[in-house]
Amino acid sequence: MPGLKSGPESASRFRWMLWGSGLLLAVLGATAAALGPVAVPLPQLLNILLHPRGSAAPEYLQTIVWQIRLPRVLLAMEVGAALSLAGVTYQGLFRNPLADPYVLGVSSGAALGATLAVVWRHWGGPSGAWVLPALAFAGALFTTAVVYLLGQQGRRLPLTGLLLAGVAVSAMSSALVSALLIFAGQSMQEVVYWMMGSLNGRGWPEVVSILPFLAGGSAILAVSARPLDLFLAGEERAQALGLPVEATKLLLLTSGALLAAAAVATSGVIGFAGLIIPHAARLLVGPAHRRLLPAAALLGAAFLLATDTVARLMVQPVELPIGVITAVCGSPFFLWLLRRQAAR
Amino acid sequence: MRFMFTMGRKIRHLQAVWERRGQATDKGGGGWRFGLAIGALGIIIAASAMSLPMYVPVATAATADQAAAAPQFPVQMVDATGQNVTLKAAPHRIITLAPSLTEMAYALGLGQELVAVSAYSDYPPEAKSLPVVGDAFSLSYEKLLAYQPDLVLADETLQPQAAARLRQLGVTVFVVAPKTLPDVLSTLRQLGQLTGRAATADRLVASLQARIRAVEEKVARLPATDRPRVYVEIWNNPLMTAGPGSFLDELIRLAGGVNVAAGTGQAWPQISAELILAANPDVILLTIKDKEEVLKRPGWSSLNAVRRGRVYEVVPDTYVRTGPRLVDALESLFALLHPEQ
Repeated sequence: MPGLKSGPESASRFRWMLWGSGLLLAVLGATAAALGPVAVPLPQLLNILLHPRGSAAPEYLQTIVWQIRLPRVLLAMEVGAALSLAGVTYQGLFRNPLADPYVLGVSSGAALGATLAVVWRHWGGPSGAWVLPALAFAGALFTTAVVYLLGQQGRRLPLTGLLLAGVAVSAMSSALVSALLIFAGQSMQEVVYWMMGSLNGRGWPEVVSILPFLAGGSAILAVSARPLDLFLAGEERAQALGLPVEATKLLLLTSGALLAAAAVATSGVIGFAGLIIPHAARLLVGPAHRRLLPAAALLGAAFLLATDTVARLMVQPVELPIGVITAVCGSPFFLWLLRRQAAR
Repeated sequence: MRFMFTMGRKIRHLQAVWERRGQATDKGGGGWRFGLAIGALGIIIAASAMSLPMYVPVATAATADQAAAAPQFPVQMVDATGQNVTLKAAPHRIITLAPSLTEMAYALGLGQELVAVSAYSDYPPEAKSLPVVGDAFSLSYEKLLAYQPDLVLADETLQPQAAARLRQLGVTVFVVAPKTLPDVLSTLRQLGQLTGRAATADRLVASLQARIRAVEEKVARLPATDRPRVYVEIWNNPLMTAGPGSFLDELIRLAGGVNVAAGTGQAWPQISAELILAANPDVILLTIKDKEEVLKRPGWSSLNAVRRGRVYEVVPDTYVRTGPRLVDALESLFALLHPEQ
């Protein structure tokens, strides 16, 4: 595995890649803030950005830039980074290239929570805007906890058992979602839209509420690069090399679940990003997690920002669900990656 | 994922019905979004460049003088979400987020006040020329803001998140949720008061009430045996109908019919073909154009409705949009159910 080495050549390449991603992200962010169905002339945009406490530009343009576009740009970056980091974590832990942020039932659990929120409201429950994301988050963590408990064998947590429990619990909650939808009446489409994922209509509250999970998860992962590398060699080898395997597993699984759950609760189920971005980052900087983690976070942020911008602009005046675009862009890219790898 | 896609087609039609889209349904169009998505891959810049000149700010139109209504303002009303909505002056930049509300606004003489509408606002025909800001499920918040509305009218299909978000952006939103025909009339009154058109609303409601009463009187004069059993088909696969809680159910009852789905307890229930065969409806109303397919279904040729040629394709708009045209629907439904009258 050449990538695990850190020779001078790969080090410079890595630095180049980090700077490149950072730059790409900044350019994308600025472009996305400047683009939208409503034209904001560049001088006015600069004026608005330079005078956050009231500029000479018309008030509605200020609202559009500060309350709609900027939070959305930031949220896309946050969700992209969170999904991609969760993907890296699970792919590393499970040593399975098909693992994604939802492998432990986060998406189906969140969908179940969201469906419950909608059905509950349909039958007279609370109708606040916070109910759906809160229940989605709770549902995501609840299913993950169930998966842990089911996958547990004694005091050990074998990863294969966990993976299988994840599949079973996901199937179970998807079935429950379908059953519940029958009682959702006309709110059913709300759930279906939500399951396709979208960043439309999100604002600063979402940007802020995902932040602690993203920061906490990133902090844990930042000090877990070496343990994740050791997991690549297998659980027994990692144990032999002195890693407290069970404790590390639990910590990493939990941070992955929190990252994925926070992302899902704010933006619905956005597929594919958490699966392919880690692979793309691995091709760029190699499998060593010290590099892979930051690269994947940056790349994930850039990818989701770009796809969300497409989602906003492509079909006027409605929006495409971003999950559709990530899948449409993601699948061919993924296949290309696979073929390229096979050719080597 | 597969679940989502099989749902997609049905959702689109149901959304059409629920969101009062009417005939704009694309039954076979499950893939248009994906097609578009592929077509536009990698041309973000081109797409966005095209979108730039789309919006030209509309100069605030000099509103028709509403002097007569002026004394009513400020108006304060509680909307269907329990929100206290205050208008300091008569609104003259209104956006409607449902085709039914567009119809109501025009019926109240607010056509000049509308600056933008939701997708599928196709009645009256003038509404088609107004700019569109999305629909209740996919709203372009920034386009909506750009029209600087002083009042946004939404119905309950607008998700609570969206209403909350609009209010957070400083937009005045009034949400209505009419559930019955009398609700529609009181909603018209409410909107009339909110927009300074109380007198117009009163006149409109009085004439609608008179027409409803006329149908009720005709129904009362019918012999008690003349109550045809009606099956409404909202969707064909799986069979889906309109039950209690839907306007169709109420219209059937008012028009002197019996809805075979009255016992389902749901507004839009799925129903098994066996139940329909057992109920043996006298009249079948189809909201999608598939009469030929319906007539060929195994066993259906024995149904009263099929034998007597009383299978009708109806335009769903008037039957499900919660606007003044529901009364048109009531009258035409009465004529369909009691052709001898």
